[in-house]
Amino acid sequence: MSSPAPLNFLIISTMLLGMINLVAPFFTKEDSKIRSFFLLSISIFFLFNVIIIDDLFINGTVIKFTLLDIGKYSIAFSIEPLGLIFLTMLAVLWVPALLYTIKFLTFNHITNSSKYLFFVNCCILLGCLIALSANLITMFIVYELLTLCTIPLIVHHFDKRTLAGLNKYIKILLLSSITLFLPAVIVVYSKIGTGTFVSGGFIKHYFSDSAAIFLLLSFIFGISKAALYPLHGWLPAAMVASYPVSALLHAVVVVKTGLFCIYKVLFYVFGLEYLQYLFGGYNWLVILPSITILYSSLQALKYNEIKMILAYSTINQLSIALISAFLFTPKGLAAAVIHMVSHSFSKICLFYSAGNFYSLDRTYYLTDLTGINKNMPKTSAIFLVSTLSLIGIPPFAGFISKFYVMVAAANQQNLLVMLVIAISSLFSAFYMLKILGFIYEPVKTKNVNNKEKKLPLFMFISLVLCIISVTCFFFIQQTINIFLNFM
Amino acid sequence: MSLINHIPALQVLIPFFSALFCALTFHKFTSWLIATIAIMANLIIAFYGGWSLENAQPYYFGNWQAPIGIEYRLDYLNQPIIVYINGVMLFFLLFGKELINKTITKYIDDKKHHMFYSLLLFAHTGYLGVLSTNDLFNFYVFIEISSLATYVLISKGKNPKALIGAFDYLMLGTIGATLILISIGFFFAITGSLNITDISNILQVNYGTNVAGTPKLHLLIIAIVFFLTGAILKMAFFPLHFWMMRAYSATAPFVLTYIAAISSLLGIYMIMRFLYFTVEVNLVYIPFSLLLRGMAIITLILCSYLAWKSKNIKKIIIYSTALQIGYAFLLLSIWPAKALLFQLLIIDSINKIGLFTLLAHIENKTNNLDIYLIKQIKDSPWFKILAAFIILYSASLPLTSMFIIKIKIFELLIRQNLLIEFIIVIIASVFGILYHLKLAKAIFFAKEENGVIQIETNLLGLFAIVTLHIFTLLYMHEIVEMIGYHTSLSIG
Amino acid sequence: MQNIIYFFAVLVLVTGLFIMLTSDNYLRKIIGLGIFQSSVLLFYIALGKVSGAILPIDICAHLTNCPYTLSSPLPHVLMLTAIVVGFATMAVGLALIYKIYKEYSTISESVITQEEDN
Repeated sequence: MSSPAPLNFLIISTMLLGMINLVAPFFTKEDSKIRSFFLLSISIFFLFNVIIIDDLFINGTVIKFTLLDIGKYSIAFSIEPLGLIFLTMLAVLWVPALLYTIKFLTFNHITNSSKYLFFVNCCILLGCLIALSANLITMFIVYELLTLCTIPLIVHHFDKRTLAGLNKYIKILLLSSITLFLPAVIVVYSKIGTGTFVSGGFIKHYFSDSAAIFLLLSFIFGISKAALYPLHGWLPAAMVASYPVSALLHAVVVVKTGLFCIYKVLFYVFGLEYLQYLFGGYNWLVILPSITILYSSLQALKYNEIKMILAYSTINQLSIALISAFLFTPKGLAAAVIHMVSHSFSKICLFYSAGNFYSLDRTYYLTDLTGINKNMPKTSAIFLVSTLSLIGIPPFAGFISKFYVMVAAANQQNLLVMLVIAISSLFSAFYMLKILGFIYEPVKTKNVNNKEKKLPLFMFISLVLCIISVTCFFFIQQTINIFLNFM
Repeated sequence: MSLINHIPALQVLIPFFSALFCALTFHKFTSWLIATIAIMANLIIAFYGGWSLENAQPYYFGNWQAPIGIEYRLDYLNQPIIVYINGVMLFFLLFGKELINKTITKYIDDKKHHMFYSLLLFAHTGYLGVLSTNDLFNFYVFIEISSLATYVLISKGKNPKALIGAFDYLMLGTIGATLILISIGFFFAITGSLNITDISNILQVNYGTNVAGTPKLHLLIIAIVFFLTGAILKMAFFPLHFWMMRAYSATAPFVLTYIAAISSLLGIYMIMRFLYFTVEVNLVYIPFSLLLRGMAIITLILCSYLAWKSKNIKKIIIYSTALQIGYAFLLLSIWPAKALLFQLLIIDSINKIGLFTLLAHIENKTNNLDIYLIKQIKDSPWFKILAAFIILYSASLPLTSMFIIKIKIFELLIRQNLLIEFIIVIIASVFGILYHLKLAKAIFFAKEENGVIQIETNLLGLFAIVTLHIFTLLYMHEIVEMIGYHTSLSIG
Repeated sequence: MQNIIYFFAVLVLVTGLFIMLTSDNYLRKIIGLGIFQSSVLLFYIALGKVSGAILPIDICAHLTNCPYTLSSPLPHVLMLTAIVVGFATMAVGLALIYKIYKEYSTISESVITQEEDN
């Protein structure tokens, strides 16, 4: 059952457009204006295309098509509200990501930039493909491909440290997906005969209660990109990569893919009502993200490396989103989706500003950040704003999403969740303000050399774009709500 | 043309005679040319034979009718395998010329290079004969012909330990073949005939489904046991696989491209021909499948664990070869899995060709294949890209045909409610990912202080393999249907 | 009692196998191989003998009312082939031993494995 050809073609052409960005770096010279112009214009066109698709969807069109068909398994794509939110988020973030990455590579003299850009674009496109996936097996295949595509980025510059990090990264991600995610997908396909996503779930009457809970746990732990304890270890290990990679992939694409896949499984495979029935007595599933939140908060307090603190803060925020989704109410899922988007924007600002600090001063540890405000006032200001957003201070993005989560939890009278979120905000305040303390520490220096002027303009523009989104998140959230109403 | 009627004989005789011609031309290039032309012709004939296959037309040598004469029968079980083997040989000759020159014939006396091709063709004749024949004794003779040539092929290589490996292979292979011969003797004693279809008719008439209590049943069981033991020993299935590890790990990897790709396929063919066409399969199936399942489980766990623990990339690849046999056994022991078994065998065979070709390129340049001491491969971008593809394919990661096969295996196990096997396959996949990680680490991330090598040999073979991989992925559906159709027609 | 020949065939088989698997010297292994294959010859030829039969020669004028029973000549023919195969195997084995000798200057398995382990 496929939609009329022109609409199919729209999705295919959008993807092909994105794929031009894959090969563009190979045909243009490094650090040339042509390369930047080409990549950026293609990503802006991509964004426009995605907006057109969104508009079509709101006006009621349905697009579904199948690419490859092997028996009951098929690679098929379709548009539906959750996926479109993710797709739009990725398309919007692609522009600042490219702006930042191209100039970061040249400023830091990273070699072999064509290969780097190829894989960065590849990861974003794979994220878009997951957003469009129409059944479980497509989602699984693109999920694995995403893991594989991030590997060359992590070891772009290889030495012992990066190899050790890569080892842990691959082992945790690949092993968990092959041991838990794949068998769960196959069990669904073989028991039911199809894995196509249906709004409201489709496995209701096929499994006994305990089998269904076991299946759900396989999915949740198998999708280890969502970094639930104890399968979170890959995220700190992947911080050996360079800043643009850490920022985009591990704060935006990879982890959000994990969240997105879990949301899809919860909503489109199991269905919220079935889940409420399964966990009717006491919703013990929220304990899992709670443990993760407490663990990651404590770990973040322990570390002195900037990237490690940011990594554990990411794990923290992901579990906040998961906890909201595990409330199994439409409001909870909506809050989880909004938190997913808001966290992306905040985190990408944080990572990019930290990347700015790194480019100029080679800051690895907190102590390196001492008094950096004097030399880089604008970046420090952006860092401050994103920190406030992350902690949850109004009127920034983080506050809006956390507020929704609290409201959803309050509706369920789930005191545990509310308590955990409050504690998490407190802890994040601690460790993030610690960083801010180092940044804004008054240091007596003779000359205030405004090093910031050395940074390329593009890196700034991308930061500014992101911070505007963080500040004006209220309007973004309204748009998201329009989509959520379709679910 | 009356020659078309003789296709079953032609398929076997063309490589045979061209082997003789190759031995007679004392020139390296000419013998390679003769070999390639012969195999191309053979492939075309095999295709044509497969196309015009009609319900297993028997072919009697010298017009002596069965059961007195020797009969060749091409049916849906063996003709596709014949086409495939010819294809593998063609690949080996066409794309491997440079690698053969550098890794194998470099270590042979200059005046005898042409003999290598003639040996290769003799081995090929032997394998084709095993596949086409319908006469048990002829079967044994061709097994021995192919084995003799294989023993010599395996003894060639950089490492002199290959000679020892070949000698071990000779010892144990001959024991296996002789056990098969003894079993043929028992069949002859029971039924008085040597023709496979005739034997199965006689056994059915005499025993049918009423099996208990007949005294000749003991003889039949002995015959079956001897045959299966001989086959398992010869094809180095677990638990009698030790000699294969030693033999394969010392020989030149490129030779293994041909031999490893074919031997497990042939082993399964032998067992299938025996089970489904000679004896009444229901008689043997249940105890045999239990035995097979046990062997399969142990192979899967043991071989994948040993592959993970190995410190040498050649050993890792050889253990992974043995591992696939475990999967084949598992599928053999499950009744409705016949089509899937052949899909697995063909896709896995292509996989092995890819891995061994990769290994041959590396071993050409360096002696030390230890994962910690291996030299870094530098400046060979195409090689690295192709190697990435091949390793991804072998690890059954998504977007490869092996992944699709693995999904089907999982599904089959779930549907048959074989939960233990399901968990065992998951554990084997986990070890699989781990040892593929080791392989990838050795190939892509070796330490620079160990030295640097560059792959300068012709990469056409790797290109061809990767193209074949992508081809099997895109046309997976058609391939699956075709194999399923053929299997149902031949075995049912 | 007439099946004792099979017992002796098995005896020869086991002897050959023992020599093949436990000898240290490669040449002795080949000898064991020859003995092992001879046992199969015994087995087959013994199969062909029909009790109370004469050699399968063509003495009867007409096949229909022939007073003699004839033993089966087929196993003899099969065994001719098997002898040739065994001969070829031994030849290949001996050639391999020669090469091993040229390479290692010894044909003792234990010495060679010791050398390889060092």
